[in-house]
Amino acid sequence: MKESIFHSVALLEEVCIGCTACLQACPTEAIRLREGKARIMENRCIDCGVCIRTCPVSAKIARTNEMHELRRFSYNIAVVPPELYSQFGDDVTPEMILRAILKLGFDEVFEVAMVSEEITLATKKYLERKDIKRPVLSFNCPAVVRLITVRFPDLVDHLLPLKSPMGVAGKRLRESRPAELGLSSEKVGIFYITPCPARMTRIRQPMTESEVYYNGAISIADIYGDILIKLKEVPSESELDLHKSGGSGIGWGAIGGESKALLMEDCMYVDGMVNVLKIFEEIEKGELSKLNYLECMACTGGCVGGPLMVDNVFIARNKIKKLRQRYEDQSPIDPEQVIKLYREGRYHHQKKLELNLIDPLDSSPVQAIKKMKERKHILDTLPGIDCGACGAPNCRALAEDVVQGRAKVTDCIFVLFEQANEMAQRVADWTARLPSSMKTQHKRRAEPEKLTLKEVGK
Amino acid sequence: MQDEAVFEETFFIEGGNFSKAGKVSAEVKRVLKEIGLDASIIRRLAIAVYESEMNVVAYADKGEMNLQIFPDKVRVSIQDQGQGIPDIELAMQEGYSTATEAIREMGFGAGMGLPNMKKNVDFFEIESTVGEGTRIRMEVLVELWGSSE
Repeated sequence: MKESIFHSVALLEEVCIGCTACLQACPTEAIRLREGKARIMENRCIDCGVCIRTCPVSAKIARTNEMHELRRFSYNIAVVPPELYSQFGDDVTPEMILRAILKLGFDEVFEVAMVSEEITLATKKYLERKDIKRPVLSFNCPAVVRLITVRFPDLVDHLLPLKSPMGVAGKRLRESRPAELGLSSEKVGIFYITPCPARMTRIRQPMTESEVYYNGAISIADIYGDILIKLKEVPSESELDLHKSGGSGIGWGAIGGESKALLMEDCMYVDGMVNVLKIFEEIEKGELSKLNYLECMACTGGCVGGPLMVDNVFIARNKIKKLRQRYEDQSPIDPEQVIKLYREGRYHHQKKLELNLIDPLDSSPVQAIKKMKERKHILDTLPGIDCGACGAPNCRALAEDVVQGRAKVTDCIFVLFEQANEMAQRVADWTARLPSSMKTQHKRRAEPEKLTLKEVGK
Repeated sequence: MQDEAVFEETFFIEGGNFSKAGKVSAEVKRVLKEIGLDASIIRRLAIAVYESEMNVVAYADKGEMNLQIFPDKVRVSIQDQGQGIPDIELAMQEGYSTATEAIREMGFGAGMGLPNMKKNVDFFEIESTVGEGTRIRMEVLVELWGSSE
């Protein structure tokens, strides 16, 4: 068994009303109602945040770090992804936003978009190879990568073996800044400004790195209001020149950004968990093998549509497009240096990705077959309306829960009702049968008062 | 000697229904994954099952696929009702195809289906009667008891 897995997505039990909405929405069927609360099964949750979006009472949250935690460090670096630039008015430039972030209490800002351009170039080099499995899948979205480790093991070999821009940024900052600043590493705080819980989880438990480079992640929703306030204080002129990233890297903030940056034939992009699931099933069938690169993002719109983002996703996506075009001629990278780093393997993962499969039913195929038959048998007795009243998202999930010892078949209220009905029938049968020793009718001296239905209930 | 099948399930394939094409092989693959068979075995079977399903969809009126799991092998038998294959030897040749224009337009009909099936399995048997249908039986050897504790 693994040590306990960190999950950013969590349930606020006091707020949860047990309505079953999130059960049905979860792409890995990781939620069950127990004691009236929608609890998450740790080994299935991929921190995609769909439940956060679905919950009508905001009982599902993303656990992220808070700004006061910066006080633990002498020097704090904010690692800022380009999707943040999409959240404000047209007259607010990336430069202004970065300055506002400094005013929030950070000592330094680093733009993820800078490194995204490096990864784009490294990816282009990787895609020159003929010996790789196609389509190559983007490693950028942590929820999508986790989905693969949980449900699509055949696709692991398709994943781009290069770090995400967030990963490159973290490692580079952690390995160089403390020394450059003359501080010990524990005194330097590196925080990712995050649009979603999946990135928070990846920061705390990177699947392909042997070390943790970040100290935490700050939710964009949490600091949005403060940024608005600080934007008013930001002077329009200053010696600072914080915004260095180009349109190609900024484009990564929305779906299609990677593909557009690659400028290669046969690149495709898919957004939204439901669509990603479908496309993965196609690839498993052997479809799309001629496709070069596939960019999949769990959130509609890409990172601009993350659960911790504030602005309307379509407006934000359009803003990214405008920024991409406005800064398309700006490029901060040194292509030769990037290719050199690529050849040295500096962008590659340090560790192999571990699987965390939900299938098979049992470690022994023989037992698995037994369980499969039992599950089918149980499923045949269930009503098949997938109502969620039993606490599982659908009847098939309940059948499997029963087989795996996680639930009872009487959790289904229809089964319970049928069984109770049957019991009532039997009791009625018995009471109709007088013992043989008695006469068929006995004479009473008086008739007892007949009970009405109303009184029975009292 | 014929062992008893430890697991058996039958699937139905609708001829001509290209939008449903691949559903049966996806289901078979899901079953094999849940049982926990070796990934390479699953891949081979998935290819063979997919090709045979596509043949039924492309050329027959309807078909039935029977999956049987034995302790030492997985057997897939497909029986379809349709035009049948007049010359099996010719059909088994790589590149030979009788696909109509409509089928080719959808991206199928490269003439690799039957050879692909045969390549991926350990035992392959095919019979056909023109005007009635085709029957295929394929087996992949496995070791079901070997990995149990």
